Order: sequence, then structure tokens, then C-alpha cells
Amino acid sequence: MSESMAQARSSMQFVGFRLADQMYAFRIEGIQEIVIPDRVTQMPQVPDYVEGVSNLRGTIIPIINLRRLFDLESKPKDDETRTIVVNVGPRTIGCTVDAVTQVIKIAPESIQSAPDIVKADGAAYIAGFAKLESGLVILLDIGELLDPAKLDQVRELARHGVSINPTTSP
Amino acid sequence: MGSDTNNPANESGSSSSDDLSEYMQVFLDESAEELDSLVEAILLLEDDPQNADALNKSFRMLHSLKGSCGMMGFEVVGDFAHTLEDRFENYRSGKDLLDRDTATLVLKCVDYFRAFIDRLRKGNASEGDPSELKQQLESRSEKTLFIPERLLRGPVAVSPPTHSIPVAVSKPVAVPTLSGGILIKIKFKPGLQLADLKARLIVSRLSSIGEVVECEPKIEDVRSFDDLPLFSLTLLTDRKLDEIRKFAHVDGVESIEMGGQVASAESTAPATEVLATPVKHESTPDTVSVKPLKEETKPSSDSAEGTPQSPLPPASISKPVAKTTSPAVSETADAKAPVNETLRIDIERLDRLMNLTGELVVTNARFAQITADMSPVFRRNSVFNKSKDVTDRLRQRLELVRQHMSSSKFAEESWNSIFHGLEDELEGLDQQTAMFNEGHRHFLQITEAVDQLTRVSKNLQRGVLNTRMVPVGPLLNRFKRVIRDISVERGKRVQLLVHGENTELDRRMIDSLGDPLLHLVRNSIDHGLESPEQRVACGKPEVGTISIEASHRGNNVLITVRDDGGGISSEKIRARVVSRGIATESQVREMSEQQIVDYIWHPGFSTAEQVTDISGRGVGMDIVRSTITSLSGTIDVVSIPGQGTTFTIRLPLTLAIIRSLLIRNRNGHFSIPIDDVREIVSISPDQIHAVHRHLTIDVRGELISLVTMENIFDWNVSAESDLKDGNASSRNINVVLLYSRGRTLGLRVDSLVGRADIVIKSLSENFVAIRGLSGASIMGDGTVCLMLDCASLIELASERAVAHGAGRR
Repeated sequence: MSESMAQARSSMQFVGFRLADQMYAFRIEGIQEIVIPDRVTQMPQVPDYVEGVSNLRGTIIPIINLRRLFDLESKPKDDETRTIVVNVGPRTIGCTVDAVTQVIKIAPESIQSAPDIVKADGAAYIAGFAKLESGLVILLDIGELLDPAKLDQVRELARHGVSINPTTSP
Repeated sequence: MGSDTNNPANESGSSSSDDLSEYMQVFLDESAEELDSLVEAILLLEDDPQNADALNKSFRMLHSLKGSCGMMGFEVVGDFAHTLEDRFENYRSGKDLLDRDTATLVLKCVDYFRAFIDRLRKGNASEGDPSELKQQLESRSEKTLFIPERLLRGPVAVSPPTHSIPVAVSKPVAVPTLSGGILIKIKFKPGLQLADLKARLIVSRLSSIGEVVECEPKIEDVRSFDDLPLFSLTLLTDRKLDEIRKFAHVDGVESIEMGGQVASAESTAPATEVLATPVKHESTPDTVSVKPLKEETKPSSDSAEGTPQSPLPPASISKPVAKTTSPAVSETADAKAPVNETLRIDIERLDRLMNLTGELVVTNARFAQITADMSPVFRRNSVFNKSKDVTDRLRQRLELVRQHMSSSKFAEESWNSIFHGLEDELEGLDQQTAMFNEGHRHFLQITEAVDQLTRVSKNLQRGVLNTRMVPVGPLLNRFKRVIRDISVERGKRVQLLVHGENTELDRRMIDSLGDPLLHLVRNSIDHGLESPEQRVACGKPEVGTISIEASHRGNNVLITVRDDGGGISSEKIRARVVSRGIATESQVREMSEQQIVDYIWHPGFSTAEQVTDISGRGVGMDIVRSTITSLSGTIDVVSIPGQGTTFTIRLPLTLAIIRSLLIRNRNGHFSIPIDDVREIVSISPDQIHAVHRHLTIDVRGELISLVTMENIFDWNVSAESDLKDGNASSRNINVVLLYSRGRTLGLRVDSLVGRADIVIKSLSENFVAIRGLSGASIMGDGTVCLMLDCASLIELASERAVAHGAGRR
């Protein structure tokens, strides 16, 4: 995805969101909608970052808690909490974030590709970084991040990987 | 309009026009069905070459195949069907008998037709080359006395002279129409387009039940008629008038007039004599009834052409319809016909419809829930009356104040304005109350409408469900051919018994059941049934029996596949289990026979000493099981050494809706399929026993292990769960006894909510499948409810018990 980003000429649109004190962003194309969290039914036999399943207008979607996925301290839901509903291949998946901030336009040239050390870790879910006035934004690749088959790996990297721990590189 | 469609010779199939492609689907489906019945008839004939029913049936099928191929412009195939038809003509007339070798050859011919149909379905219209088969067929037919006199066929077939029992005698009802052709006059709706094609269709349909000897106008010339108001033909058949009517009635036909037996009418026999003829026919030698017919049918067709009105319907038919032809009367006469009328629908469309209906039911449940939630608010005596009381009291107080004030005469004006203001406010309150009253009335209407909606959507759901239900007969009968082929190949003699062909099942399931059943049947022949010598040595009949039986059991359909072979050798399984390292020698010793037999479901397990191309690759049985499981069904095996093996498949009637029990636990709502619930019991604490830290309950003397949702599943979020019921030890607890695959497990639940019909949705569609859960559904209030998969839940429980036990050792 980072390659295609680099090739794109005009600026790309991202939806920015916040987790703890760090800004992240998803490409807008991968996002189906953003909703206020509905009731979530807990599920057994799943890792703790899966909050459960929810009813999105008749479709049952899993809800992934991004804070827990990134091994951050959990935080109770508040007025700002949002569920970003994304499409991962044929699947529809929801993920909760602390807050959705705004739609960001980023020119391709201001996107820095992820440092080699991050890539070497196998953290393909980090598509790149962008420095904005408000600070550093980590651009995430939805497909690499939220594919059910890759979630465990993401969690492991987030837990042990040093490259992008937001608390050390705000 | 018709010029491009009604010249079949010009149609090569590949360039078929839209009009024709519409018929193409019908042609494909009907031909496939005809081939199925043909195979069935041929298999019958193999055992009983003189079976008149089967002979007639196979002849009819070939005839109609020939006709429809011709109509669609497939000349090579049609011609080949014609060759076969000729051949069957000889069998039918008793000139020849169908021997086994020829039957095999005919089945090969059927394969050729099937291949052709399959190719067509894929859009490849190549007709293939049947010349080799044709040659083989012809080399088999020694010089036959083929009689070109077409007119002879019908009557001969009806009462084959060489057969001791003419068909006619066994069907006395049909007798009145026997002795001659029936003049059928068909009136099309005025201005009907493609009437010529309809006429052909009618001729082709009628040909499947008899012999069309004469058409007016001639079917070959029909093409030139764009407007064809009246079409008449003479049919030789043994069918009842009602039945003929059904076959002749196609879309666009306004009325059907059926004259009596043209032949008999011609001989000016009074009604009584017409009735007498069949009696004679029964007693006199066949030659008598055949001979005069040959002469009589000929002039009859002339008369049909010339003066169609002349043959008066004999009294025996007593149908005034023929004369009056008022549409209303023929309408009622046709009233029975639509019973068997069918429409072919793409199953995808039905699926979509089913899903939408499911959504409707769920949404409806939500409505019902909302109205139920609202009803306390609108309950008449509560809010409405209260607000009315408040305004009344306010008004009284105001009046009191006014009286006091008027006596004091103090600053009257300013008080008045205050009063006016207050009165206005009160007026407003009154209006609010009235509006509330109005709202209450509307609410009652809504409640009523929701009730109505519930009824309608339930009926709609049932209706849509029914459209998907088809009999399992065709599926089961498919195995006749398979068994024949395999048993010949393996040198075993097998007969197949099929019961319960009319049992209905969701079409989707029928489609997916073919492979598992095929595997079971193959397995039975390959591993189950012994060789004929062995069977005789065991004192069993030489011919092995495989029976497939389908039946309804409550909300389920049971399909059993049973063979009377040697049963499953538990010794072989034991040895194999140990040699494959699936279990240890000592573990195997402790297991019951049933536990051992259940190892056949283990992936990669196969006891076949010799790997055959049919079964024995060891990938079969676990796939069979997983296929059945994916259909929300179960499969069990019971084997009695020396007596045989029985596989029982249990399937829900439909995949779409599951009747279930709703329970509530601290982690939320769950549903359990009603079929998996053996019993719900209330257990007092002293009935719970701890056996090596496993909780066990005593239900009428039976010890059942007890689990809770918390200890059977891993709940990562259970940290917040409260332990408030830890001290509720004095109260009874609710336990749902789950039953699956012969095992029972007690599940402790916090509360029972009730029963519900649930539209199940897959969890893996958007996420991953989770062991112990079969899916999820949306409840009336919009929350998601998880459905327990009892079979895997019980497995989970026993694994945990084993792991727990191992950990303690």
C-alpha cells in the first residue's frame, strides 16, 4: 500500500483518530462508516482485544478494541469514543478508538515510509508517517492491521516491538 | 414475430435467440428429469424386462426427448433418440426383450445425452457424435420386424399382445378412452403470439402420454400461421381425460374441447355398447381388439379433419364442456390442473428472498419489542389519568383562591390577570392531556398493526420456506445407478431399498447431501458388504442390501444409510488408532466399542486394507461429518459386528430458521437449538456432587457433569463479572441438559428467557468461526445473541475435563 501511496499524485484523504495521545489515520477508501458504539455482545474464546460482536443494521460485525490491540491501557467508553467500520476484503469489521478527529489531506511527498527497522519487524500494518502541524500521524494499513488472520501478529508486535510505541515517540 | 424462432432447423443452438433461450432452460431441466426417469425405468427393466409400466415409461421419455430435441433444433441428438425409441418400441411391443448387456449400452447412451445436456448448460451446443453408440445399438438389434404403420403403435402399446395381462385391465378407469383416439380441440386466446410454438409444445407434451396421430392444421405447416385460433388433434392414449387436459393445458390456451373416442363414434356404437366394449376387451383374445382398431382409426382421422363436430361425445364421457365450451365451465374443469403446475426459479433468488424474509421477521420482532416497551407508558390508568387528576385539582384550588380574593377586594385587576394566565396554562395542560389521549389511541392501533404484521410475516416466512422444500426422492434414487455401477465393478451383488422418497428437505441441503451420501453408500459397498461367497458362508442372502431411508422426526429430517454387511471391525480400528499414534494402547483398551467406532470420523483415518479408487483414501469420513456439520446436522454410526452398519444423519428442516431456547447468563443472552435440549431441570444444591472437583448432578439417578458458561469458555472480559451469586447456595439452580451425539451435559444458566425462532447468521462471515458457537442472531431489542453449538460444547467440556485431569496427575 505504501508503494501505491507514493505513486499517487494528488493528496490523499485520511481519517484521523486518536488512541491515548497518539494520532493515527486510515485511508478514507477503506472506511465504510463511523458510528457511535452500540451495545456489544461479549464473545468467548477470543483474545481480549476483541470486544465482541455488534449488530450493524442486521449484519453481525466483530468489534476490535484498538487500544487493547496495541496493548495500551484500556479506558472506559465516553462521549468521544467511536467505532470505525472498515472493510477488510469481504469482511466488515468495527474497531473502537478514543476519538475520531478529522479528515486529513496529506500530500504524498509529505508521507515518510516506515523506518526499515519497523518493516524488518514485520509490522506491515504501518504504512507510513506524516508530520502535520498538530504532530506526527501514524498511517495504518487497514488490511494488514485488521485482517482476522493477522490480528495476533499485530498484537505481538505492538507488545514487543519498540519502533512505534507511541509513549516513547509522541 | 415467429419467423426467427419457429424454424428449428435453422437454429444451431449456439445462436439461439432470446425467445428460444427461454425455452432452452425448460428444455435442459425437463430433459435432465426425463433422463433420470429413464434410468430408473431401465434399472427396473433389468430385473423385470417385461414390466409394462417401465417399458411404457422409458418409451415415453425417449419419445418426448426426441420431440424436444427436434423442437430445439438438435437434429443429431434427436435422431439418436429416435433410434433408441425405435428400439424400445420393439421391447414395448414384446418383439424383443431388453437384456442386461443392452441395458448397459442404453445407460451409456443416457450418459451421452447427459453429457450433451451438461455441455449445453455450459453454453457449448456441440451435439457430439453418437454414431459409435448408434452402431453398437444397431449391431445388437437383429433384424426386427419394425412396422412403419404409425397408427399401430398406440393401441399395441396399450395392450401388448404377447403379455398375459394387458395394461388396460389393471387400470379399469382408463378403459373408456381405450378403444380409440380422442379428438382434442384447443382454442388459443385471440391474438396469442407464438401460437405455433405453443401448438408444438402441446403436441410434444401430449406425445409424452400417448400418440398424436393427426393434427389440424398439420404441425409441419403450423409455422406459417401467425394467428392460430383453433388447433385440433387426435390422440391415442390410455390416460384419463383429466390428465390429458392437464398435459394439453399450456399458457395461452383458452379452452380445451375433448371429443369422445373418434373411432368408436364412427362405428356408431350406442353409449351402452361403448361401455360394454372394454368388458369384451378383457375377455376376448387380444387380437380381436387390435385388429379392428387398425381399420377404424384411419377413417376417424379423416372425419376429424373434415367434420370435427360430427363425432358426438358418447355418454360415457358425459362432458357437456365439449359442446358448450363456455370459458367458465372449462375454467372449473381445469381447476384441478394447476396443482402440479410448477415454475422453475433460480435458487439464488430464493435465497435472497429467504434472507429478506428473515430480516423482516427480525425487524418485526423489534417492533413487537418496542411496542411492548411502550405499553406501560400508555397504560390508561397510569399517566393519562394522573395528568388529568393534576389539572382537575389545580382548577379546584384556583377556584378556592378566586373566592377568597373576590371577598377581600384587594387589587382585583392584578389578581384577575394572574388568574387568566393560570387558566390559560390549565387550558394548555388540558390540550396536552387530550393529545396524550389521542396518542394512546394511536398506540393501540400500532399494537394492533404490529400484531397483524407479525401474523403476516410469520406466514410469509413459512411460505417462502415451503418454496424451498423439495422431496428427497430424486436424490436417493440417483444412487440406484451408482450402486449398480460400483457393485458390478467390485463383483458384489447389491440391492438398494429406498424409503421415504416424499420426505421434504430444504433444497440447499439436498444439493449438499449428494456427496456425503454417495460416500456412505460407496463405503457400504466397498467396506461394509462382504463378497457373495463370504455372505453365503455366513448364512446371509447372497445379495447384500443397502437401504436409504428418509423420515421426519419433529423438527428434523433423519436419513439413514444401512447395510447388512459385516459391520465395522473394532479390532481393526483399535490397531489402526494405535499404529497411527492417535491414541495409546492403554487408552484404547479403556474405550467402549462405540468410542472405538467413532474413530472412523478422525481425520486421516482409513481401515481399508487395499486402497481402491472408490473409497479408502482416508479422507472421506471426516469430510462427510464436516459437511453434515456445516448443514447444522449430525451424523452417528452404529455398527453391529456381523449384522451391518447404520449411519444416521439428522438434519434440521431448514437452515434458515432455528427454533431455540433463549437463556441469560452474566455474559449476555445465548440461544440453544431446541433439538439439542434434552430437558430443563431445577436442581437443589444437595443434588450437586463434586467428583474429583468435577461438578456432577444427579438427575433421577443419572449422573451428568455440570458446567457453567464461565468454566467451559475462556472469557477474556470476565474480570468485571461479579460474584454475587456465590452466596446463593440455598436456592435451586437452573440446568439445561444438552444432548448431542449420544452424550449429555448439564449447563448451568442464570435464567431462562423463553423460546424463539431465530434467524442464524454466521460469525465467520465477518470474523472467524468460534468453537462452541454455531453463529449469532439479532434479538428483538437489536442486541446480538450467540448460539451455542452443543456438539462442540460437549467436546470442549470433555477435553477440559481431560486436560484438568491430566494437570492434576
